[in-house]
Amino acid sequence: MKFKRICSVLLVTSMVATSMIGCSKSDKDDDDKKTTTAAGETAAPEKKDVKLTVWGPAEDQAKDKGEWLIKMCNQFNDAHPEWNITYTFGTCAEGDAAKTVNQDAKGAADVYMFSNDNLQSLIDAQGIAELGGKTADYVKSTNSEAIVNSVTIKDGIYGVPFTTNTWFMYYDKSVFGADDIKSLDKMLEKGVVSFPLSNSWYVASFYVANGCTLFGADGTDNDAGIKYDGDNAVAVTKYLVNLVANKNFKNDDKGSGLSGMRDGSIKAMFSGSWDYGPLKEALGDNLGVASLPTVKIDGKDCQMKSFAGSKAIGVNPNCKDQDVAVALALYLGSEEAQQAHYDLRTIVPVNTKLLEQDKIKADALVVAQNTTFDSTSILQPFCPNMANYWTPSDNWGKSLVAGEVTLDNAADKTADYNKAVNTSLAN
Amino acid sequence: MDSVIKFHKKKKDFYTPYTFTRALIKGDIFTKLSLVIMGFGNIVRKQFAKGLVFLAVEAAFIYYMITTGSYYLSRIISLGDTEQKKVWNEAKGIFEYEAGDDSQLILLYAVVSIFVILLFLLIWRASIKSSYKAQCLKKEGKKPSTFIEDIKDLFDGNLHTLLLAPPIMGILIFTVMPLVYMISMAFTNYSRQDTHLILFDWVGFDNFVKILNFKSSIGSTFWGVVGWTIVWAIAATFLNFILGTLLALLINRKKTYCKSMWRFFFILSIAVPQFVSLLIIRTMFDDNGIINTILENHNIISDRIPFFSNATLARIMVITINLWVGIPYTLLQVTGMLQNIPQELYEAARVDGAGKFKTFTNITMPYMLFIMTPYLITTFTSNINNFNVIYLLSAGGPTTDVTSTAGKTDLLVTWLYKLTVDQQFYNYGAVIGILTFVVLATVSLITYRRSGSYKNEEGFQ
Repeated sequence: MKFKRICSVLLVTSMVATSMIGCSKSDKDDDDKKTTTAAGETAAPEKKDVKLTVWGPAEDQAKDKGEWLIKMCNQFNDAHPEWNITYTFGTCAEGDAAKTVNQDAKGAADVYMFSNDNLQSLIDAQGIAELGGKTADYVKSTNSEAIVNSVTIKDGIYGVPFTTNTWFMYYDKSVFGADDIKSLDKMLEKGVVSFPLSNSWYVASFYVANGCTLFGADGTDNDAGIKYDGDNAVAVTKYLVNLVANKNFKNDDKGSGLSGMRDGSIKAMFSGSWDYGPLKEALGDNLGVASLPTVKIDGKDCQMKSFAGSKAIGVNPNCKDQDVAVALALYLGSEEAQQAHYDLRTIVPVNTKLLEQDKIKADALVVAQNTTFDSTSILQPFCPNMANYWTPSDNWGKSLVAGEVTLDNAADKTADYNKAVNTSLAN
Repeated sequence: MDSVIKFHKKKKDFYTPYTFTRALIKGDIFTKLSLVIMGFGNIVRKQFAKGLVFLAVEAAFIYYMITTGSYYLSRIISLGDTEQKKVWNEAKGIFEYEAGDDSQLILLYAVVSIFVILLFLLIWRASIKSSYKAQCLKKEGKKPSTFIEDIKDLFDGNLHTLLLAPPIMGILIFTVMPLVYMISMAFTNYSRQDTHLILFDWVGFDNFVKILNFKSSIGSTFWGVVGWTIVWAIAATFLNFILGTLLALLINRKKTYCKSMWRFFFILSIAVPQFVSLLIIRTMFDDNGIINTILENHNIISDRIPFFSNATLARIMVITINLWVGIPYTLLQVTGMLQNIPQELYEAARVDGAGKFKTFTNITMPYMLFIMTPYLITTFTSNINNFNVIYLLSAGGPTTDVTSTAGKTDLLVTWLYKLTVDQQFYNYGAVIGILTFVVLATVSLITYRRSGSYKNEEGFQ
């Protein structure tokens, strides 16, 4: 009998506790409503206390790299006397934003940085707010159309872009001349070239080179699907089989490209602006940066085309002080902040005015990244069915590297691959 | 027959005249009123504190149901359908969002509410029995125990309830409740497919059908992974056992010198945390790792050996490396056991003229198996769920099949991780979790029931 009594005592405690939790939750909701209405009506002449959680990559918060994020946030606070903002900073790389925010959109950061390929899944998980009014106008007026498109879904702008996100070529100037770097095949004759073939973000460049399309001509037509089904796709597969067999080709996996460039065993590699620092350190003046070369498929020169996107600042729709968060996002993507980002971490800016600056114009890295973005890239598709692309393509690259795809079975395997990227993995 | 008698005896031990049914039949008006107003019977019989506690439980329960429980329970069928709303606020120049329903939260709170109701019913029953007991005691002219006496009793006659209550509550709240919540996900379409991450619905057994179906892409992956999981579990368990035993026997031989030194050497690998050894070995055997580099630099090989990028080689690698990590433990176990086998058995066997091999097959082996079978079963289960070794070594790879989310060395548990964390197919993850449990429970129960350790508990003493 006593057991039940004990139970009862415990249950009371637990029930009271649960009901308290229930209470506190609804209380908080009420509070939320009160504060928002109050702010709306009286426009708050006195300082309003605001708490914001901000997420960005670790490099933007590292002391030795100038703490860009923290600096900018504090400047923003100083520039707005009407708000007294307390920040909580967290680490989340732009590419991981969807994964991290989607785990618990309500508990995620109020303002965070994301790669635009995360956009669709952020929207699906209700983790990102649309921007309108003067914020949207600012984005439209200070960026090129391609950049604006990279953060636009169904006419809604979802982020303030601050840099382009794409990859291009690094090479050793002492090995390759200005003519060599125009053709991958010529480069392979002269020195060892490393390419991340087993990475789905890179492997598409060969297929796009030979006229395969992803989601229509502009990459936004979800129903068009991925077209890797013609003879042109098979030709690319055959080219890649030969590429893997080439003695001068090395797959770039787990940083092997970078370490090869360092020790001199690799003479050219494909990567983005993030590898510029260490490469410059290793190669010094011999480091060349260029947009993508062509490849000879079926006797004709085809221009490789990388996926290009942008990195942007997003705002959580569950944020309590949405207006402050949007203003901060705008500030973090502003001309001033982009300038600071470039100065501290050589993050290539997207602001059209900044790109006019002589110093930035003369920067080889900026030139390579922007030439790639403008002429040898396609807008990385982020329509819903693009989610089916990644895993099969990673696996496809790995099977190419492992030699499971051969010239004989290239046609069948390409057909399988085409089918896989056009169907959900869970079918 | 034995067990039946035992069972009756046990039931008799716990006999009490104060049952719920009797309370309903023989209870007086106050007891019956307790059905509605909990603790009423106790208060009437001057057990004020106790009665008030019951009443407070009822009040708390009603309050919880009105404020939270009823809302979520009423949505348990639909799991919510209100979409998130977006409103343009011109004054502030921002879009304001009004959160819609979140099926996950509705499901969670509904499960919690069901548990609260079940607990409440238990207490409600207890309150009626308690009130009936008080009524009976009053009738017999005895004084019902006071609250203080009840509490004192908890430290004396009812000490077991006091000590057992916290762990049982802990298991209910932190294990059983989340389990029910997770299991219920298997019957929904909670996945990124067709954007069901926020709002999802019940789909019955659809997910099970899809996963068990050979023809669907996820089904064929599933059976492939199941096959490898079983091969892995058997190989990892038995190779570990056999090789560990051989090593232990070798060291335990009379003629082996420096026994403790050898044991020390082998056990040394336990001193390095498992995940550290695994990560180091992984890097060493990488395609660009030190092993390949050394072999290449000395012109022993011309092409790098694809230790982890060739399916067969990767499978052999994970099993072999697992031996490296696992054998020291088996060595410890078996050594302890070997030293415990009564020497008289061997002496008697020798007198009877038995050779070394005979003594091994007739004494050492049966003795070991008798003790080791339950251990082997546990190892087998933990190998089926051996996340660390696989994930840290090959990460499930090589993954070269374009139609599959699993690699060639993925176990059910690592695949489950990929499906949920990387791919956000939470529903399939839940199904796989359930199926893994079913397979494991069946295999372990059957083997354990058939083992000597279970059938003949006192066999070797």
